[in-house]
Amino acid sequence: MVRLIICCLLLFASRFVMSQELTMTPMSDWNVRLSENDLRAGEDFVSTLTSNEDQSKITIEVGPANFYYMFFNSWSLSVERSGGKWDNDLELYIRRTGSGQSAGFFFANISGGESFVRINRSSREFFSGNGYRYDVPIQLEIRGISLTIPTDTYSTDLIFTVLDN
Amino acid sequence: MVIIISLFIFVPIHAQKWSSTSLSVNLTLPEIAVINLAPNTSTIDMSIRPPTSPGQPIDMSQATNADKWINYSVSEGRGTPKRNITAQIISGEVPRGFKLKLSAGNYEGYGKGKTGKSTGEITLSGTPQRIVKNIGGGFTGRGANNGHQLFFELEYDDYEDVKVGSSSITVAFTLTDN
Repeated sequence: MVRLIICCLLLFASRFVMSQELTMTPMSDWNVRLSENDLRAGEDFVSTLTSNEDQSKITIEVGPANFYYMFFNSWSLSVERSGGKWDNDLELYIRRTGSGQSAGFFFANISGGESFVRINRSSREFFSGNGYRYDVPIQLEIRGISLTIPTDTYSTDLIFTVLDN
Repeated sequence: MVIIISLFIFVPIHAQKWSSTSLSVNLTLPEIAVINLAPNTSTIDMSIRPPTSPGQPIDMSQATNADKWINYSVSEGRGTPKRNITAQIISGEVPRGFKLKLSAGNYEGYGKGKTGKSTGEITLSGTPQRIVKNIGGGFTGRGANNGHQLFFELEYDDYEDVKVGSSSITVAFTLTDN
């Protein structure tokens, strides 16, 4: 009985070690700079640029490190675009190119986000899953690049938000 | 037993929690000004032939050429001036008694954006002269039948000065922003 109480206390204590993390590795921005070498006279820029398949990796740890949260708790990840200077003709897309790793059990699930989805200023669901999920690779794509867009440096922040369902 | 109890304890009944992180995307579109001739930069030949019969003028039927097209790709910054294309003779001399005239046709092709407009006919010299004006951000399309067709024409200026011989001339085309 004493052992049972101690075990319960230890598990209860884990509620105070709240792991509510959404991290990205590497924390590197995607910087693209075109030049005259990217076209020949008479041509436009290539309209679509795609990042590496693992431009960044997302780790999602929602809730305390206990059995329920690590393996069962469902969550969803949303994405939106915010701030910066961005031309209306430039479209930004994202997808996940893999599932990353789960906490180790077969019932951990991840779904959605395998095809490119457009990122707008309004938040939209990217993908969802259960339990802790590590190093989900993501790929970015910019469409609509053209010489008809004024020369400038365009930048925007992608905001990822995890919701504990 | 421990696992079963912990499930009962920690199945949450609470509002959504959230956590955020961000990533920046930066795209730099630089100033671009690229020009070329299509289908190639090979030499064009124009010739003047003697009159076919006494009393007739010299035969200028081979003294024109419209084989070349100008292709270009240009980007435009906010508030930056429009671009022009100038032409000038950078080597050689037009044979005595003749003038070499040039005009650029109006834009044709599969390009997009703010392509330029012809300024009409000029007489080529060593001084740059505009043949296309008001080029903004855009591109002409690549190859012959895209961009501005170039019309070269030799005209005799002074009949008395016309002499037998040949001459080689190099004409340079430049994208400028003034």
